[in-house]
Amino acid sequence: MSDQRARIAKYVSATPGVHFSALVRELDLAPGQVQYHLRTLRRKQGVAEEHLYGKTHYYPLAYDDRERRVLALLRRETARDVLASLLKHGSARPAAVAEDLDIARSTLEWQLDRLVEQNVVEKRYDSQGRVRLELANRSETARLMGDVVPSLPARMADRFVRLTDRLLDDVAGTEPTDE
Amino acid sequence: MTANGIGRVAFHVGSALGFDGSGPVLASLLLLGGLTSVVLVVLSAVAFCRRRSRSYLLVTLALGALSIKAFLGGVWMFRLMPVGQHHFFEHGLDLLTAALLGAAVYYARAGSNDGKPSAEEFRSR
Repeated sequence: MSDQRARIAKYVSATPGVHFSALVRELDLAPGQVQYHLRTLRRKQGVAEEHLYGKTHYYPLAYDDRERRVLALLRRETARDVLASLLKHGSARPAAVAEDLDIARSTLEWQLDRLVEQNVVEKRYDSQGRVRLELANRSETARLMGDVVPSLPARMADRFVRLTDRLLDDVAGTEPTDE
Repeated sequence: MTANGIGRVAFHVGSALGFDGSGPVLASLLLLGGLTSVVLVVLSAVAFCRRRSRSYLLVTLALGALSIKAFLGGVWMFRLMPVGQHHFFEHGLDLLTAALLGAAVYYARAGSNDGKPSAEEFRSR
């Protein structure tokens, strides 16, 4: 295996779910070079590829299909915070989670759309027909959360969304509502 | 609008952008820009008083820096400051505004502990 290919394989193994662009940036390689090596690695069963929400992620082979999708979501800081809040409180009402994290309801709902779609979070209805959020698989979420750390650009992008969602919510004067 | 009218507007915009003097268009731009940014400063100060978070304070300060720029424009118009100094302060304020907004984004995550994910403490559960 070439030196560069080994470097790429090692980086993917240390940062499961890494983006193509992050590989190019962090390893200081040309995009074409990374593309070539990744193609070879995939053919030789060295890395797995997953397309999710318009991004391509790379993983070591240790993760199955579902784990790969969960890991991709766990690379987002706000999604992690939502999941951490649910780990701490068990089942919770959406308004309580938004308040716990001091995020706008719109920020929470955007994250929930994906977390529910990928079956990480479940929406249940209580006896009064109100929504409650619950983790679909507590132990899996806790385990996978430790395997990835969001990158600095990803953190700043998430915080930008948090701040602007909150400011826009304040300007619009919308109060959090419970459906 | 007639072709003549469009031409007149283009001329005024051009002369305002062309830095060729203290025309009435430039004066009204400065006045309008200054008033609008002061309104935004007041709005963000109200938001800060309600939320009491660091991000809101930083946004208020950034908008404050923006409104000072309009004031500096006026100072330059009345020839109270040499143009070199004016540019230095003006672009210094650009940097300050950008830095304050960057810091506001950083602190948008409540209780940011060096960006350490708070989830880690629940791992063992």
